[in-house]
Amino acid sequence: MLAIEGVHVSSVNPPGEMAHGVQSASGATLPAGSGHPIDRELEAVRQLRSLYDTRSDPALPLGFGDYLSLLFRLHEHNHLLQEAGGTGNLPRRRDWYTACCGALCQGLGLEQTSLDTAATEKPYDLRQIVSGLRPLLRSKHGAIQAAYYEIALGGLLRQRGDILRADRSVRYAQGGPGSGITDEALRARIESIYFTRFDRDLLEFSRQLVTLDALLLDLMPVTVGEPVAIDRLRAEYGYPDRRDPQWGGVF
Amino acid sequence: MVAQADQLRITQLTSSYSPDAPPQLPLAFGDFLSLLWQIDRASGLPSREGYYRRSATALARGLGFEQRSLYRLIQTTPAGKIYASLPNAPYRGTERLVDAHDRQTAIRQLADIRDHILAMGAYRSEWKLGWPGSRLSDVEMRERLFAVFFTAFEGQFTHFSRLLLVVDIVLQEMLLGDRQNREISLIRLIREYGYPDPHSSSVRQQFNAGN
Repeated sequence: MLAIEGVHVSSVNPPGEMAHGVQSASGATLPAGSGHPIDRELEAVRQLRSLYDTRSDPALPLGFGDYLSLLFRLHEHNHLLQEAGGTGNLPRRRDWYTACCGALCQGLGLEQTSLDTAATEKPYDLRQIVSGLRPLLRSKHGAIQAAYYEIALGGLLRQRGDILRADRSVRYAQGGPGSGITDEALRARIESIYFTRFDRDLLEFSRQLVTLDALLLDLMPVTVGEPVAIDRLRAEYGYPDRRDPQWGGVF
Repeated sequence: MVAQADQLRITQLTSSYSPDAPPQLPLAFGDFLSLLWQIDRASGLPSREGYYRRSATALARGLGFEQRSLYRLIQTTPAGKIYASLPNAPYRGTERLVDAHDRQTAIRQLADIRDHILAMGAYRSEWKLGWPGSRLSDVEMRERLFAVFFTAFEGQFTHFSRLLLVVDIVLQEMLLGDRQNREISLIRLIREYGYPDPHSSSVRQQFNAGN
């Protein structure tokens, strides 16, 4: 154990050695599950936080929460593209996410609804989504209550976005941030936060996503289809196949 | 479980530091970082920004690092840019240039973790007219929303935000170059270093002016 002024930090992995686990949204390793029922929820959380990239297929059928996470990833990439000016693999990544969102949107029966935002510049824009739902909310709850539903939906979508945003901001090829710091003790403390505490605590913190998504589903004035397995999404709705050569080297 | 002392500390670090919510515990380096975050957040609100700048300036002097580049950061960096400027600290000094880039990267990551946590900790202060969904007539839905925004969120956030305690120690080491446990009481800060007195009516008026 490494203790920092009363805050006990789990042992640091040796440099270059990561704890056994799965890839997080940023490609980092998250602690692995053990098959326990509680861990099944963690599997769902890991998927909701994942990058949905070409490195692996989503293990669980994709549902409404996955759709929101994909819209969030597409939104992020559109923003990066605007900032970077269309360089590198960003345009292809955007195409990948647009294809994923489009297929899942169809699979969940959300085409032509205000949640069908993949083609817009800001697919996870809270105001756009919520104002798009306004007519349906009004017809269902009346004008006054509809305004409160909009606030509630906006609050949940914002919290969801913030949970996904709380991620590693520093991308790296080898080592973690600060891996070249010459002071060994300081380097070890940074690694303990970066490799051990942050991943573990973030995963636990993200458990809220499951509850949030269930509530969002009940508040939404649209009918959302049942989760769809990846094979069916590919076969029936054109979800992109990561093994297809056209997607090689996108991520 | 989070120890009560840790919880009180986290509550202070994620608080607004406004005259209505003055710090209850002695202030340390982590409070300074939270005050910098509040300056950024007050961008576009000059009176509020001024309050937080005075608070951060007084705290930096009270903690004895007014000769450091971090102190000058408060005076020279526009609100909204301070947290983004923190990673450049290794380049402002003359030491350890060999690993300055690595330090810069590490500071950026740790400051970002801090930023994420404080942003979520500020939810409550942003709910001016009740929490989202508090006026729904559907009681069951209202209770479920309450559970998400308060019970579930607070429970998880309490644990997650504990990272602040560790992050702040490491950030102090990288930004000030030591792990010395500096602390100073609010009373002393007000009397000796010009920290804005939260009980002063003029301070309160100024804080709320134009907002």
